[in-house]
Amino acid sequence: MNYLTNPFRSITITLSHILETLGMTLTILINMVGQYRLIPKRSKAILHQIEICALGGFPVAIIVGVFSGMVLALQAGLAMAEFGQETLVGSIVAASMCREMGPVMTSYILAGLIGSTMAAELGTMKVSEEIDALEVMSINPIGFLVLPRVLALALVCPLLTIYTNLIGILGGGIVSRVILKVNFSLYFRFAQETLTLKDIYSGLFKSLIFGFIIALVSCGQGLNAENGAAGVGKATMKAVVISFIAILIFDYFLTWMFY
Amino acid sequence: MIEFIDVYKSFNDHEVLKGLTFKVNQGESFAIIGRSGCGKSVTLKLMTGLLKPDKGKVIIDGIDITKATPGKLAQVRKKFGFLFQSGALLNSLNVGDNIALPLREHRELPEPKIMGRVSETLKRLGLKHLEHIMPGELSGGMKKRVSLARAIIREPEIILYDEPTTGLDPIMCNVINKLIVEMRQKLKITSIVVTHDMNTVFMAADRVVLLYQGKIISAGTAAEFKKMGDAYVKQFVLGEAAGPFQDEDELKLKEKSGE
Repeated sequence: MNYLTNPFRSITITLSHILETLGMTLTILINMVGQYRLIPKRSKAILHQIEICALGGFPVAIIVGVFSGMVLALQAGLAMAEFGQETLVGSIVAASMCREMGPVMTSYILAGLIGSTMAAELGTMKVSEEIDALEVMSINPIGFLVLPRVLALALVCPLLTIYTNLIGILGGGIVSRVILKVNFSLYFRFAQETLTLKDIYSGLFKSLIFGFIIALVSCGQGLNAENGAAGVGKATMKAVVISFIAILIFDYFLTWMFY
Repeated sequence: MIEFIDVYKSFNDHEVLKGLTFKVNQGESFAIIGRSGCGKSVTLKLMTGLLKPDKGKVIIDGIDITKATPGKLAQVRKKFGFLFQSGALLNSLNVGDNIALPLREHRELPEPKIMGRVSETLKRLGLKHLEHIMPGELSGGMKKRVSLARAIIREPEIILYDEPTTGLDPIMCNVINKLIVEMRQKLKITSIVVTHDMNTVFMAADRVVLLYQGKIISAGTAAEFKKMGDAYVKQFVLGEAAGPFQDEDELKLKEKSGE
């Protein structure tokens, strides 16, 4: 009720929460960068996390990839068919998937699947005193838990994006063939001709940044969970919401940087 | 030697410690008793630098850890072994890896020697051949003993026990109490036990302090506590419902409502 009757107070509280989250995430980032020497020592943990992230994201990426491509092909194709240009649908699908849809949709999947898992796992460790136990043993929890997760997701995100892009383009091809009656060879020829190297590497670079952000934000929220199970739930929800918002904001600035 | 000098600690508006002062000598077995929520566990967390006091000094072997750099704090923490109330074993690691963790992380011994030390420590605590079991498969008493094994694996100078017998059956309580005595006698380490179990106090402690409303209200040897005429001590030792102790939860509620 207070938030509705006093909008100024609500804005102030929201701003202070944003600044608090930003400060906390940056602190973890700085601490993590300081732990870079541990990367070889953590290689086993990094590989284990890569396995978790890739296996977790892979099946959902198939569904999201194929339907993203199909929706793109359908929307663009039907509009273009009005001008008799539906043969060009391959160009639209390929460019959209590689530049935007692939990296963003893959990152959303990973934020929902892996980011939430990371926040819940670390949050549970925090409320059950496992993080305290690490600190008492003079083991830095950021080097031990956060570093492998962030590196793993930053590596897996671009790999899954390549996969989502390919599946999406294929899905678009199926819709072009079945609904728009554009044959495969024509669809793929336009897709191939339109795509530039920049489209591919800019999308993959975006994915790398998104993966890094998702893991960093999620681990940060987990490490700051408090008040038992309810606190872990709240941290998990915040990890996903903040990751989604951060992906959108960074997407804009990265697109602006590349194009 | 461990020294608390006029330590204050509050959480939000609730003042937990109000000028706590005490000293623990090397090799001594020191018990902190008091009702739930009186700040016993907070005292242990302040001792290991997991929490920072609002005011006052916490001195460990001449170093004021409230002003120590992270590097110095890590050095001081190496003196400690900590048995957490919940055990705080890392659920993703098996028993052997949990116990070996501090040795592996600090690369203090080659791997074959680490595994030898793990088996030896498990044997000492009556837990032979448990190395490959996951913490989730252990009973409460076993978890505590594995946690104790992890706490002593690096042969610490000081060992902290946070409610070591809470949630255990009377037989297991006795096993844990005997282990505390044995650890002290065999390893000649300083022990600090936080508990409300008077059996633990009488079996394992040289000196006892009773904490109430953020301060020490009674201090003496375990034998003195048994015979003490002080109304607070009497009520606590005998576990009587009626007496001078006020309900801590009720006090907190009154404090919140400004009464």
